[in-house]
Amino acid sequence: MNQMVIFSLLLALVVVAIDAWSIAALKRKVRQRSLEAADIEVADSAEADLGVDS
Amino acid sequence: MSVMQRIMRLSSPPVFLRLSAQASCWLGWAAAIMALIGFGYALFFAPVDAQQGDVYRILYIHVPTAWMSMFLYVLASLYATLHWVYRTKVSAVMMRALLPTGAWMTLLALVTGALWGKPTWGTYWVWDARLTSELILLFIYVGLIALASMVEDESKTDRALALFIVVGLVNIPLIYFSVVYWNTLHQGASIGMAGASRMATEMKLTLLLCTLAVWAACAALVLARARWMLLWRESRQDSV
Repeated sequence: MNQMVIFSLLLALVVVAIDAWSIAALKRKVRQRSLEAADIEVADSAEADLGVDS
Repeated sequence: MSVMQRIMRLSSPPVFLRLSAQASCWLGWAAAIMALIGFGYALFFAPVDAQQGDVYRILYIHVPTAWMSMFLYVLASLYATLHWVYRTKVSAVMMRALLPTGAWMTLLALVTGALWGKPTWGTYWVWDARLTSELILLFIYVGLIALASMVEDESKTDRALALFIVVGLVNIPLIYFSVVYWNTLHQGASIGMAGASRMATEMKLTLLLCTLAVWAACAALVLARARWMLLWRESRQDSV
């Protein structure tokens, strides 16, 4: 099999993997923000329970 | 429910989030299966070209990625136009989500084309109308991605980005018709919408399967990216 053909196919796989990895990074960023927002919500409700005026 | 109402319903974020999650998963699996069969057949079973030998097999990657580089740009322009008219969140994230995958497809088309060009034309690169206009498409994609990531609050650059995407559309007919109107080293289309094809049926069917695999992979990636971009915007709004 021609080496150029194999290299082209591997390159295509690498490109798809990089694109998928960038989406996974975005997914992590969204999840991180959701967790931070949930923490703020928990802290707010805890403050409200303690009667702290925010 | 009319067809228009059904289409408009897709621009609702909850509907889009639900459908895109399912569609990207199914398309991803379909792409993997079709790629395995299509590229497997292209590598090991498709007949050897009488003139080019085995190196012609690069075209099973080059042609689908080159088609996809143009198709994704046309689609981004369509969503950009929709964004100008309706200003929906889904149209904004879709036009943005199409850009990185489109840029990758353009880069792949250029690199695989160069790898095929060396043994067949005797050179990796010539400043021919088709190759140059495809390179310009890559620069357009990169410029638009840079513009899209300039401001942290993406929604502020949506309209400017939509305008630039539509302006860049002028390059697509230049790429497509470059082999018709100019005397180029790049050959004309072997498969046309009308008229007899100059390819053997076995090669044509293999190319079709490879194209469907690349299309499904791009669709899965774009939908997944659009889904998380939309969730990112929603989370930003929630936290403000």
